[in-house]
Amino acid sequence: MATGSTSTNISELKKIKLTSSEGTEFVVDKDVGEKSILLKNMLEDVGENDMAIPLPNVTGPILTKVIEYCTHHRDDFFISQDDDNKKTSDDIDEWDSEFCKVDQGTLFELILAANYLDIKPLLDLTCKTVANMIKGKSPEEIRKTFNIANDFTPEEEIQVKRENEWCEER
Amino acid sequence: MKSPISALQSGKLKVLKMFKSVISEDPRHRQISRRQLSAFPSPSKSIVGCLEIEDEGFFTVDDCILRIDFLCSLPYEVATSILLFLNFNTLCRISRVSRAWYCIVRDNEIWRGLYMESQRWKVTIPPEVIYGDLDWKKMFKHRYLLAKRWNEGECDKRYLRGHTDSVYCIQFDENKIVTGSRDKTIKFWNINTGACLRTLTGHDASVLCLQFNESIMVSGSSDMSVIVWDMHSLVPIRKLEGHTAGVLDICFNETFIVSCSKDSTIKVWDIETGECLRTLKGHRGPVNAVQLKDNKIISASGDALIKLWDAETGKCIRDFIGHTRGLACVQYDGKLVVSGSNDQTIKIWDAETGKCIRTLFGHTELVRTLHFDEDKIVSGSYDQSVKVWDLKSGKPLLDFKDGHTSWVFDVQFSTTKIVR
Amino acid sequence: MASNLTTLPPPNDLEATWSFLESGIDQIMNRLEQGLSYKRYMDLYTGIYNYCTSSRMNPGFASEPLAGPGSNINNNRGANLMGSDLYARLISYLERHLTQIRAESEQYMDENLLRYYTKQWEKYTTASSYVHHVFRYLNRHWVKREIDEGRKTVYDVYTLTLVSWRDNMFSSVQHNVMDAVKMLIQRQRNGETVETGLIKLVVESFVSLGLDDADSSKSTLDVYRDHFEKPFVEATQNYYKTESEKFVSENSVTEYMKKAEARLIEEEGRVQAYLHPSTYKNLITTCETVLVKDHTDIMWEEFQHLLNMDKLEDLHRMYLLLSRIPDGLNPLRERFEEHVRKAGHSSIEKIAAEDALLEVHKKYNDMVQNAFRGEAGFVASLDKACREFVNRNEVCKSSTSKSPELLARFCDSLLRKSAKNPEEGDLEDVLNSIMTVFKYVEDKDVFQKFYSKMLAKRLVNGTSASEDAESSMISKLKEACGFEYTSKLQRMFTDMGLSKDLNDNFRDRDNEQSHVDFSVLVLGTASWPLQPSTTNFIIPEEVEKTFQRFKMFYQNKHSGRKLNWLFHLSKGELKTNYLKASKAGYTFQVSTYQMGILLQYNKDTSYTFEYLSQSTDLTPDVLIGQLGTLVKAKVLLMEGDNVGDTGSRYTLNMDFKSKKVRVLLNVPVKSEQKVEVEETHKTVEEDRKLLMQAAIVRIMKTRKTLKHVTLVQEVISQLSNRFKPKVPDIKKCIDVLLEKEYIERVDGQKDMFSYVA
Repeated sequence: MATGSTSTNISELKKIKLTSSEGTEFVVDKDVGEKSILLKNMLEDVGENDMAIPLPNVTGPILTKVIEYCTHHRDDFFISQDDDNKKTSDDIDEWDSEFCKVDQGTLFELILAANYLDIKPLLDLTCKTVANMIKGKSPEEIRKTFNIANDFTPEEEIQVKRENEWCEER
Repeated sequence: MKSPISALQSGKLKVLKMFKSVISEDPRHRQISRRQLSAFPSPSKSIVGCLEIEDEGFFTVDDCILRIDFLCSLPYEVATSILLFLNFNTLCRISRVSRAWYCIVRDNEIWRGLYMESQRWKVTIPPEVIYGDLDWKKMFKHRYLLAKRWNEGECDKRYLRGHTDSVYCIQFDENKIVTGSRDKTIKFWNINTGACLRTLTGHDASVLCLQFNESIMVSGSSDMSVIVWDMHSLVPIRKLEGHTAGVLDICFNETFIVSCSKDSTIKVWDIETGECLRTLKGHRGPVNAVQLKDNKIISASGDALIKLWDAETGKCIRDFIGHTRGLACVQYDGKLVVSGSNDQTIKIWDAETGKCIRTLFGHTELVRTLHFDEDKIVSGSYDQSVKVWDLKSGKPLLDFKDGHTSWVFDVQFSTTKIVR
Repeated sequence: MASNLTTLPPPNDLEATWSFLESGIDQIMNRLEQGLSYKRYMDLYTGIYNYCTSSRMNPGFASEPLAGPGSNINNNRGANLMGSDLYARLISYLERHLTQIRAESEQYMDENLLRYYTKQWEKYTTASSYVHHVFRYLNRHWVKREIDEGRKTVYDVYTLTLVSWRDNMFSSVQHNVMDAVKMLIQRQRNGETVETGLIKLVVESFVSLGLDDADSSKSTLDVYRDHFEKPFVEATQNYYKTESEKFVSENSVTEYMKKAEARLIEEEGRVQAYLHPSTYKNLITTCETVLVKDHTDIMWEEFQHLLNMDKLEDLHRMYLLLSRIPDGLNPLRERFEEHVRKAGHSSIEKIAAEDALLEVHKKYNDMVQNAFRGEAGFVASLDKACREFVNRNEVCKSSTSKSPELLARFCDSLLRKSAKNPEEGDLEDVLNSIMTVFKYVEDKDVFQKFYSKMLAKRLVNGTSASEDAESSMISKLKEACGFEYTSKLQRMFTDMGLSKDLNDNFRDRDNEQSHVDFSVLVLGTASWPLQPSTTNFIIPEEVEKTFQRFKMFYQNKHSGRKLNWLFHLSKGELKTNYLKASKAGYTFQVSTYQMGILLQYNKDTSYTFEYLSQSTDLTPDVLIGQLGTLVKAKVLLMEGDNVGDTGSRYTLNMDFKSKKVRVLLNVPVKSEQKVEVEETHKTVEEDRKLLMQAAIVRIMKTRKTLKHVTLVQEVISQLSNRFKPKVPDIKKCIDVLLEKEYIERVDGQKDMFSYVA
């Protein structure tokens, strides 16, 4: 990971080539690419060469977004979040929040790409964004937001409601 | 949520365009996109549905936003990582969205995570038990409700009716409550229904104190005697006599019965034979409370002193000096001593050094009775209140004021219940 | 198969996915040196990713009955995650792969086996880390979930490869591998050059295989410890047992010690070179046992010999070796103490006590510092031995107070004016070494007594060699024993200074009448250990007037003070006018008593003993002593048999001759000296009683009540820097104090005293 400006300077010289699922080639700085643990591990294992790295599961437009994200955060020192800490979705900064103002389809594809490329901060960010879409809404509002059909029978609906009312805020 | 919707709108066009391009261009890509479609059936269905709707012109353009059921469409492991950012209230609520959501919100790891976050809820899981086999949502729910009850001081009040005069002492276990009264009787109650099960007679005056375990019960009375009862047959085994005034408190372990009396003495009895082994003299006022712990006796007296004694030798090990008026109650756990006094305070002492660690102010009358565990103290006072205190900081946590119309004589609690 | 290499398998087809993966894993495991393309790597990862992500909320179960709160929680666990099939297939692949490697290994033995094992290990672990990365998606989700849920038999992929190696490879070849390792190390110990890199790799492999069964993310050293360290250390033990026994039987002990030392250094280096650092303790302890502990007897035997020969280098080596093992040095310390004691005693027999003490101490102190590195135990032994021979040697016989007396005398001889006075620089050194010995003296109060006596003499007689040396010595004593110890000595110097001023003052006033050169020392009785005179004395009329004037002068100055004249310590000078042998006249240096006698002869030239006795008022024994000196020096001529006989007569010798102009007649009388020494010892005893009593009262005053035993202990500890009080003496003092009602017994409590205010 980039630990400071000096390492950024050196890796600026190094470029890697990525190919999206449609075959479009992207050239990115190595340190940007290495925000993806998948790419980082592979470059470590296989070594560097001029070949393009094929990313069969990522489309060009989504890859463009991912590169935009990684470039913006290239100098961040990603702290691996401790699983014991309380996870919260309230800590999204302005740029990230702006970055996530996309339609559900793009957000969905971004989650998949972040998961595939193994970019933890981006995966967290996109998951938090979805979590924020869920928060504070009634079940009916959620169904509307995500276009979900209520498939409970009336009896089931009562059962589920009773089962969970112990923690409902008053 | 108005502005994000408009933002989504602008994004919509891009995505649609993308899909169009995917479909219309190079057949190789079409193949890939088909694979993607088969890999992610739900979103594609939703998209297709949306396109169809647009074609049919049923809805306005504004309503035709791409909508995706994220939890169902994403791989299970990714879907659950979204839920990790939600608190339990939200989780409970959203399980009412659909069958699929209901199922995914039940995910055990999510609830284990929530449970573990709350470090105060200690849980010891034997090594042979696999975490995954426990129902963490259920565990979370129980702990949550219990904590809520302690925090909010919510309680069920139940009144036991039957004694014809004041109740002086009480002890309970999972099934029953046992009380001793000024009407000279001891009564057994069903803890759940409140029904009186048995009434024991034997003392010739008020029953002032009692303690029981599975096999015996020991009671002390103003008639200057102590009676040892068989817990199964509920008949007296023997009567211990020797005190020259009322027996104010008793306690026992495997070896000894210890009684204290208004006559300023403490007597140690052999639990097997009933023989009086030794009489501890030293207090200059009535000894109001005694407790046995690891063969050490702690006693509190009207002379404002607490004494720690060795039950084996009868020697006084230490005095705890600091209360300004007589003491009514004391408890000792091997490390700490907590005492309640007529000076309206509760004091926490270091049993090793005899130093007073903290004084708790709050009651406005004699502190008649108290009980403590590793993090809290429950005290009952003649001011008719029961208070709960934090043992470490000494801060008052709860105050039960209504519930008693007269003096509180005895209090006892476990994690789930306070009885007085 | 060929098409599988280029086309990704369908995501939810396990068979297709696995066969696609297997060919890739096989390539990584066996042909990694041929390289791996980005595409191939990404395809493998993607294959796994696609398979694992083919899970999602099954839309089908929407039609199933709703699972209630009490339903099977299996639905809520990681069962929804895909991966267990891939994991199971990977396990069986590894098993097959390793079985093959193991089968191949059977053709190798010894060094070749090591070469094969380490080569395969390196290849396998490198490949495993690739596989681990390729399977990262499985690790991140399915494996993590299994571990989180508490399943102990699921590991991340890299750990899995290690477990697999341990179970399928290591467990069956480790014995042969260890035999080969032991063989290789034995050859190295025998002096051959061997390929230690092989051993280093084996160690690495064994350490890596230590997996904590309770928590697979942690590692333990169990495997290394049980399968490497244990057999290795056993082999080491056997090797050195044989070697050292043989060597000892063929060589001297000193040679053996060199060998053992070299071997220990070699083994320490071995740990650093290619073993795991945790082995250090076990290996070195074992070597120390075999090489040192098992041969302590011969070393302890040799020790005396080395001491006798002053073999510092060998002693040092022995010290280093034996200090490695528990209790190895104890016998040495004992023997050393004994040796120093003997050396001390025997040298005392040969030379002057003080020199002997100093010399022995210096020699063995050097030995302790150099050969034994100033180790505390040896320092203690040296101190013990020195204290022993300082306080209980031949010269002192049974009394411990003889040594301090001798030491004080030795100081006196250095500080008194004499031809043998050392140079200033040397003197300081000698005084320092005196302090070294002084440290060992138990009866420091005796030393103090004698020292102050002799100091008094030096000052009174003006025979102190150097004021600097005197004060240097006093400050040293002060440093060692505290202010109180030297306060009287200090006071004596003050008195000397005051007296000088006083004399100057008196002389200024008295100038006109003075025809006698007169000087006086006014000394505080409390500080000066001077005995009052035992005799009366009539002051000769020649000095009477001056004497009276001084008295007046002093009383005016300090009314209320009483002057006691110590004539027995005074002296004077007389000039002769009656002798023909010297025209200028001789100067007699005389005691005051002698002056009193001789000045009688200004009136007549011959007197009887009785006359002189009457006119001087001296007691007969003093008069006899003084006359004896004068008769012996032939200043007076005696008629009669013995000095002091009734009717004996003493006539002034008009023919007295002397080569020197100044004649010293004031020589001390022998019998006086002896009495004085005994007196001093006696006063020490008295002082001690007082000191003990004072200490008891002091202690009781602060403690109020005290047990007898505690009281005695306190007294001893309070007085230890003065002398060692004997318990019976303390008891006597307690009795005295009980009698005087300073303290009393506590009723009903045995041996308990309380302070009476």
